[in-house]
Amino acid sequence: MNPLALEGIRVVDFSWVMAGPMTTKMLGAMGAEIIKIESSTRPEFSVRDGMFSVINNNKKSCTLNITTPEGQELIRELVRSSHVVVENFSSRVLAKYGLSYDMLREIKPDIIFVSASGMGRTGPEKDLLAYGSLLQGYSGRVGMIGEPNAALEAMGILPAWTDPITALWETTAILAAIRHWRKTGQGAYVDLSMLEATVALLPEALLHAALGRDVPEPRSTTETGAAPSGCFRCAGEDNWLALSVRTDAEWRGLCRAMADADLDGQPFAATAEARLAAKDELNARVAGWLRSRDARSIEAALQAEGVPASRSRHMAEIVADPHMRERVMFRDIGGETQMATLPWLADEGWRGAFAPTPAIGQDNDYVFGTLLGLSAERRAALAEAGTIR
Amino acid sequence: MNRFTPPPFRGPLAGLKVLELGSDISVAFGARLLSDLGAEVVKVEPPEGDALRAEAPLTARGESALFAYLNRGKALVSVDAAGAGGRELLGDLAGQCDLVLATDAALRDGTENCTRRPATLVVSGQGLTGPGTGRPSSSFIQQHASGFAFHQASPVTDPEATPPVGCADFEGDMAGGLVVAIAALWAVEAADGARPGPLVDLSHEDLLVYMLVEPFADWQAGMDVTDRRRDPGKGLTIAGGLVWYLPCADGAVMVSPREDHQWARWCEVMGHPDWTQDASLCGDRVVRTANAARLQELMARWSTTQRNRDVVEAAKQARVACFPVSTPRDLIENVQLRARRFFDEVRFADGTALPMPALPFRFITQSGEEMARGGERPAPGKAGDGGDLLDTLLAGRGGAPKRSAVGGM
Repeated sequence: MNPLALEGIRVVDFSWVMAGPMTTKMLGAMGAEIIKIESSTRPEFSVRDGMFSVINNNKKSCTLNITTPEGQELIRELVRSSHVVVENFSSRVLAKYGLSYDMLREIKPDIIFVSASGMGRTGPEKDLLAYGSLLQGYSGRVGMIGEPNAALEAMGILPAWTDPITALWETTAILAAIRHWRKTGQGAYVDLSMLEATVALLPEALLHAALGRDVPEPRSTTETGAAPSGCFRCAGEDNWLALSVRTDAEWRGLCRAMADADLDGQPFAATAEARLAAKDELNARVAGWLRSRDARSIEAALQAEGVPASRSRHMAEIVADPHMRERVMFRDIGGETQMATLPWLADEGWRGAFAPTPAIGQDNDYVFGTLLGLSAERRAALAEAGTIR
Repeated sequence: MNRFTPPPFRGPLAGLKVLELGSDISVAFGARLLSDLGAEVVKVEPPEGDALRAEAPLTARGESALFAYLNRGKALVSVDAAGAGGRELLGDLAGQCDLVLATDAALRDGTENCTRRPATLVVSGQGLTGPGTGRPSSSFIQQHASGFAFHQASPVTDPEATPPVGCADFEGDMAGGLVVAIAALWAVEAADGARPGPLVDLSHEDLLVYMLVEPFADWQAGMDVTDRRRDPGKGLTIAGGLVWYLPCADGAVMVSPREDHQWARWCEVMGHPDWTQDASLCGDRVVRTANAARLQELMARWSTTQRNRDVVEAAKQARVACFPVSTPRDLIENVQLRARRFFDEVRFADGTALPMPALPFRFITQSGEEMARGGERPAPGKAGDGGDLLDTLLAGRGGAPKRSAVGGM
C-alpha cells in the first residue's frame, strides 16, 4: 500500500481564500506536488496568519506576476509539465491573462482543469459577485439554521460552510479525473458551482418542497423523529448537553438516568408516538431537570444507559480529548499542535502527509530553476523586472 | 448503434466496482457519488430492506424520496447476512469488487475477515479505535460532540439565550458522504489491488472536527475559543459589517456592499444617497463596521417595505453583491440552477417525478464527452432488483448464489 497515492501528480494552484486551498491541501496530503502561485504584492497571500496556515500545508510557494506577458509565459511553461490546474478567478481574469481552459489545453491537451466559482461558468448569473457568506443565504441554508436575527448570529454564517464543502466536492471531482487520466490518458474540464455544492446537501428541504410539503422540524435544533431531543442548558457557565431519544430502549435508559424526574409515570410515556406528540412538553421537562445538573456527570450517566447524549464541546476540549489524540486527529509537530491533514485514519495512524505552510516565495528557486530550467541570472533578471515577485 | 459508434460516456469512474454494506446516509451518499461518476455500485440490503426506505418524505405510494436521492443509479440486492451462507456470499461479492464501503456494524456481520476483500472504508460514529468509541450517538449528537454546534453559535451577543446549533437539513451526514467518496477514491489508488485490502477508519465525529478550520486556527493562535460571547469591540454583526441580513416584506436578503463605491451605489438603491454624506454614520468601511447595528436598523426600515426579489434586482443593476435568502421552493425554480440543468427528474414507479440535485459540477473530458445533467432518471426499485448483476458478479466465483441468503431473485 502506498498512502501517497497521488505521487507524480503536479498541481498548479491559482486558488485563494478557502475552498481551493483546502482542496489542494488534501491533494498534497495524498502525495501530489502542489505549486501555489502567489504574489507578494497581494495581501491575501502576504498575510499568512490565522486560517491561512491551517489550509496551506503540503504546498510549494512561488511568486509570480501573472499580469505580465513574461509571467504568463512562465505559467504556460509550468502547466506544460503539470497534470492539474485549480483556479477560482473571475471569468474576466481567466481570459485576460490567457489562463482559461481553452488556452491552457493548447499547451497541455490532457490537463485536468478545475474551476470553482460562485455560480458556475455558465448560466445567466455566472458573472454575479458572490461571496461564500452570501451563498449560504442564496442556497437557503441560512434560513434553516437557528432563529432569524439581524446580527446573523447562530445562523450558520460562521464557521464557513460553503467553502469547506466546496473543497470536498472539488477534491472528489479531481480524484475522479485523475483516476480517469491514469486509465485513459484523457484530461478533463470541471466547472464547479459553489451554489450547487451547497444546495446538493439539502435534500430534506428540497424533496419536501417538491412534494408541496413543509419540513416538520428544523434539524439544526432537534432531531426529527426523536423525543425528547434538543440542546439543553446545564449548571455552570455556558454548559450545554445535547440528547436525543429515538427508540424505546433509549427511552427506558433516559428514565433510569433521570429516575427522580418521574418521566415514566407521565401520560406520554407509553409509546414513541405519544412521546413525539408531546415533544414540547417532554423537552421542557428535560430542560428543567438538566438546568441544575452537572453536564459532565449526566453525560456519563446517559451514555452508560445507552442514551445518545453529548456535551456541546468546544475546540479547546476537542484538541485535548484523549480519544482524538489516540486517533491522531491532532499531533504535536515542531512544538506546535497540528490538525490531521486528512479526515480519515489509515494503517499505522496515517492521517495524510504534513509539511508546514510555506513562506511566500519559498520555492521560487525550485519552481523557476529546477522545474523550468531558468538560470540564476535569468531568475534574478525576472525578479528585477517584477515578474517573479 | 453500429460497431463504429463509441459507447456513451458513463463517467470518469467507469469500470470501478463498489460494494455498499449497511444503513447510513453518509455511506449511501458517498456510494451514490461514485455511481454518478460512473462506478458500478452494488448496494446490499437486508431482507426487510434498508431502514432509510421509511425516511420522509414519502411519495403518495409510500416510496421514500430521500432513499431515492441517496441510492438512484445503484444495483440493489438483498442478502441475509445472518442466514445460511450469507456471510460467505458477502465475502464472495466483496472479492469481486474493487472497493467496499461499509458501516462498522455491517462489516462485523459480513466481510471483515474475508481474505479477498478489497480496500474497505468503514464508517462509524467515533471510529474503530480510541477510548471514546462506541458512545451512543446520532447525527445530531455528533454535531455537538465534535464542536460544530458550539462554534456555529459563536460569537453571540447573549450565549445564555443562544444555544449551540447544528447544521441545516442532513448537511452533517451529506458532508460525511463527500468524505466517504474522497477517502474511497484515495483508498482504491493507495491499495493498488492488494487483498485483503487496507481498512480505512472514517468517523463522523472526526470529519466534522476537520471542517472547523477557523475555530482550530483561533485555538492555535492562542485565542480563547471557550467563550462564545461577542466582543463588542469587534463590531456588532457576524461578519464585521461586511454582510447584512435584511428582512423584506416577503422574506429576506443578504447584502454585502464592502467597498466605498459599492456602498455609495447601495445607498442609491435604497433611496438614501444622502447617507454617504454622513461621515460619522458610514464614512468608510471601519465606520460602517462600528455602526453596523445602527445601519442595519436604518436599512431594515426600508427593506421591510420591499419585496426581496425587487431588492435583489435593483442591487444587481447597481453591481452590489446581494442575494435572497432562498426558500426550498425558490431553489427548485431558480433560473441559474435550471439553466445549468442542476436538477435531474427522478421518476418513481407510481409515475411521480421529483427534481433532485445532480452533481454540482459539469465534467467534460478532453475529447468533449460531457457527463449528463438534468435528465430523467429512474428511482431505485425494490431491494433485489439487482439480482442479474449479482449473478454476473458471482459467476466469477464459479457457482450460483445460495438462494437461502439472497432475496428478490
